[in-house]
Amino acid sequence: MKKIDKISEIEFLEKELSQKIDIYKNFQNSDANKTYFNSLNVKVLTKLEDKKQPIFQINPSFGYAFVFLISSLVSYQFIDFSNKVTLTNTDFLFSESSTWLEEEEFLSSVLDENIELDYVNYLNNEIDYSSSRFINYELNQLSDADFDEIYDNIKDKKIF
Amino acid sequence: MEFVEDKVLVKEFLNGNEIAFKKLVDKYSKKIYWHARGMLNNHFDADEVTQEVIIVLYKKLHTFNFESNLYTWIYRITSTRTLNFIRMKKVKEFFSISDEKYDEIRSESNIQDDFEHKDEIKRIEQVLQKIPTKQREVFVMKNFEELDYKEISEITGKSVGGLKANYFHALKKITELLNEKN
Repeated sequence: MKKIDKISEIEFLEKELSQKIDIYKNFQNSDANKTYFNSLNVKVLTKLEDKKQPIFQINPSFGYAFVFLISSLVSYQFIDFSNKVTLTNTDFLFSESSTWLEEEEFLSSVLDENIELDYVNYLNNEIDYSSSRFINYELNQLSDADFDEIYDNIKDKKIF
Repeated sequence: MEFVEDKVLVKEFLNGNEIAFKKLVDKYSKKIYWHARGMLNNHFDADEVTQEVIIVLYKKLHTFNFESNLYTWIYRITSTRTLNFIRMKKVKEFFSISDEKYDEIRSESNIQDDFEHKDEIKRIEQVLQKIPTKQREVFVMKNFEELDYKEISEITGKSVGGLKANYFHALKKITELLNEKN
């Protein structure tokens, strides 16, 4: 298509559509939409105002102090100051975590075979200890007569 | 004159005068809305895009370099946001994701609904949706926003020749489709 033809076709089509385009433009420029646009503008500007408001305000110096306090607490838990600093309160807030560190150290020593565990000996001791405690408890509950009877039976080798 | 006035308002806003921004919103919200409406054929989507663009303007106005017209800069943001919205909507439709935000704003204020030539306007909007986005954009900017090719080229970043071709095809299709209905 030649350029002249194309331009004249565009002009023709634009002319054909002009009435409908004017209708749409009148719709766009109608004053009846003023209320909507006013409310839209107010709505967006309010949104922007709301976004500018912080949820809570805090004095920056308090903020810095808070951060310093938290970092001090955390560093106290992970750095061993005991060689240089003596603290009066050894049961500090997070004593559980220092216990945990000791256990961790102990377990790693076992795994590294620095500490040899004799399980048989350990279990025997445990059984002896528990049973002796149990027998002691039971004997203390007996009356004198019952105790004498048991004593006689042991002496006469009726038991064991 | 308008060009100078806009720049004064921007400078005032950047110096902390919020009223200057309000004046800019009053001046441009309508243009933003109608561009989005022409592209989206839907009041609720156009409303959402307009709000988004105004918020972007508020946040990004400090990046405006004062070399171009403010309205060209605003149209560029509006055009990008609108095209992104269309893409996003297509993706959502593909995965059948319902848009809760859309349902929320449904009940809010609407544009005038009881107008003269209501059916004709609806038909124009329906026909606009049937042509490709690129053609629709140049048609809307040229006819409804009365921008020339040079300005549209500045906004869209496309060559004047390409825009003319798109406009020609848009005109042909729209005329055909409108006549078909008749």
